[in-house]
Amino acid sequence: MATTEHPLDRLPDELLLSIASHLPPAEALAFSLTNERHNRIAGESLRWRKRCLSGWRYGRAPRYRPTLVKNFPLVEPWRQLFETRQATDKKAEAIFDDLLQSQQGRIRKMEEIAALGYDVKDLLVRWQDETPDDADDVLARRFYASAILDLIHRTIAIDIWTRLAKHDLKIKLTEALGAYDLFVLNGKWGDIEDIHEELDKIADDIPGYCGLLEWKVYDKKERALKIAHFLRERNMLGNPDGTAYHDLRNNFLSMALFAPPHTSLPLQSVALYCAVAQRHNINAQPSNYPGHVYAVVDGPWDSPDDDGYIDLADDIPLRSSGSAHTTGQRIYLDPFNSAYEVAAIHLARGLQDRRLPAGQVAALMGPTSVAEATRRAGRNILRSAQSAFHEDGGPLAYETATYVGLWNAVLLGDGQVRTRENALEQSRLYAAPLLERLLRHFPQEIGLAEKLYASLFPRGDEGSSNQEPHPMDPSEEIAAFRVADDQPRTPKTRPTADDGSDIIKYRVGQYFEHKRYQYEGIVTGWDETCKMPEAWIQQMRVDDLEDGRNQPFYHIIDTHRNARYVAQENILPLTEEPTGDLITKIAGRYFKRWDSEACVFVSNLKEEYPED
Amino acid sequence: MAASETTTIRLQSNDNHVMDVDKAVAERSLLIKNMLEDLGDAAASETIPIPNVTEPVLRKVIEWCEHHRGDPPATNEEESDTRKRTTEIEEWDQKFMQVDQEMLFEIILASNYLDIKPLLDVGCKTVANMIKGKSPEEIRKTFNITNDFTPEEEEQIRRENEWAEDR
Repeated sequence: MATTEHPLDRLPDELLLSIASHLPPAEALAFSLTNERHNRIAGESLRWRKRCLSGWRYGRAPRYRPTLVKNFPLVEPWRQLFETRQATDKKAEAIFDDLLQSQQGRIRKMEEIAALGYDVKDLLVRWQDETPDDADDVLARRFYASAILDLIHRTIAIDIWTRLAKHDLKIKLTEALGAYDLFVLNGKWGDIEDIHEELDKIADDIPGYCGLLEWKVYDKKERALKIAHFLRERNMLGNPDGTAYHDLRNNFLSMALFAPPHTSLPLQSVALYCAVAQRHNINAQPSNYPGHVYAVVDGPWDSPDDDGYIDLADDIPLRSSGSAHTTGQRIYLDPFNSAYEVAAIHLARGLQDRRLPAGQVAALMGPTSVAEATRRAGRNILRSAQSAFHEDGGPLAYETATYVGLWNAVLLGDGQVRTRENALEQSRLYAAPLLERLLRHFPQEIGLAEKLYASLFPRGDEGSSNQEPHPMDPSEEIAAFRVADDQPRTPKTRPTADDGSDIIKYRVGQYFEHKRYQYEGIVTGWDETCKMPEAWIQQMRVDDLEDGRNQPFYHIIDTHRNARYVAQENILPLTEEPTGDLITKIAGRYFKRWDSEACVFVSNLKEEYPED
Repeated sequence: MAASETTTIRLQSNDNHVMDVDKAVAERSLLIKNMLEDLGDAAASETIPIPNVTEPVLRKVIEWCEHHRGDPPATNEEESDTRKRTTEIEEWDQKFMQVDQEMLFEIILASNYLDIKPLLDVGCKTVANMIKGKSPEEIRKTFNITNDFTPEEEEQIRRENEWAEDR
């Protein structure tokens, strides 16, 4: 039988491909099943797409989100994408191997990888989670992968807050609060995209839960209440299980959404509530009320949308505080505590005793701004950090939480300031403690600090060339740090006594307990004698030690990531493998792995201490 | 701009019909635009042959160019994902594309030849929309395609791509 001529036959391959590119995958498949030529053309795209999507979960482009990609047409030149991504992975791998091998320029190399952003997230998560226990450099690999992941996430978070500080009104509350999650997320589920996707899904479920027909006839006020009901019933709001109110976890949206028991602070509960309500075109915002966060829901109520179903992609941006409202067109909800309305009069009474001017009462009764809500969250985190020190998180969680809180305070201020000048001065106050923590815990984030300090301490170049740098400007310290990172290390050979024995008793990698203060640590370097300045020696009463200042001294890192300097006589070697933060979060910066036969860490500081 | 004189140029279809078209309109075709640039002023007086396109199709294409003469120039690269994602076609274009299949494919080929990207795009989207929501058999019927697969082959392709539907 002769093949019948059909019009698609007249199109050259590239036009056929361009038609197929407009089809979502399932429909492209149907098309490719019609005949051999179509299969060759459309199927090719489908196959490259499959390789891309099964090869990587993350990518800079939003098309990488599985929920989006489902309906995403084949327009993407998938083959090209596949090749680009493979090349990116290769590039990152080469830099990573290089940084594991040499101390020189480690931080610069970490930054180079981080600059590839979400395109290397898969790779980093894999190195972090799947490096086998018996790999030669297991600790280093996991540590640096994890640190680079943090750097990528924190760069995004800081960018969000920087834009917020510049009054970018497009930033949603869930984004500004989700930025906190980015600081602690690491390889886990729950970045801002994940949060938004989950909220979409939840919002999608609500009409069905209420009954589609009922939902259709509800006005917006009823819907607002139903949503609170639904979320509470799903156990997504509040803290019913009574985990300690100030537990660190309660500060994070991703914890409330993804991690049982889904508890949160009032602000996070209300933010989640509002985000879901906004997805149904309800004008809900967190309150500005002192002491507790309510949801402020504004009418008009009587305009349910036409089809009873809203385009979930369109969030309404939060209105700035103090927007006008008509009496009777506003309700208050307390989704943290209940699914019911809170009488406005009840809230107003709470403010009465304060004898505030009427204008201020109105502002406190109104919605807050994204920036203010974000600052509030920052204050909460700093507060939680205090208690975390003693409770759930351990010392490093405390340090990280404080670090996040400081970033937020530097970028957004603490809410007390009035003028721009003032704001700058305020931010500068937080800058020094921030830098101190950064250098101690996350030196690879130095680039973030450089940007920040450049804006906090602007160096005018017009007519101010001889201007003295601001006394608090740490750019010189930062510059010196940069230089040190890129400098080749000077090797230190181990000195021996006349009889050939080691003068330096312990090696880099020795795990020990401090004889007098009982803390644990690991040796990261040594000096033949105490090399500290005289003042330090006096203050620390080094000469009172049994062997005085002329015994070997060790650079060590302790369980709080403090770098200390310890006399040999105070080192009490430990032989069992350490547990906890020391092995998971600290050792990898300096060591390759724990050697269970020699009972020491295997050094990764070979350029500085070649014989250790 | 408004006050400037409009120059007309003369196009000749492959079936030897000649038509006068505003230069600005004809220049929606990058092929013609480049040609005019190469020829310089001389072009204005000469007849430009369009050997691959018949008169009715050329008229149709020019109609589209007329309507879209004021459109901002296409921003080629880095188009937003949202635009790419949709097969939405603006209303006027939709009506414009309500033609028989013969004409539809002629327009696609002509816009490809004349290098009128936005029109080509509308054409491809129109065909894509005709494919959407149909089973392979329905697609075959729509375009009169002969199935050259054995049932086994068809089944295998389906299996290989199973996941396309659930991701």
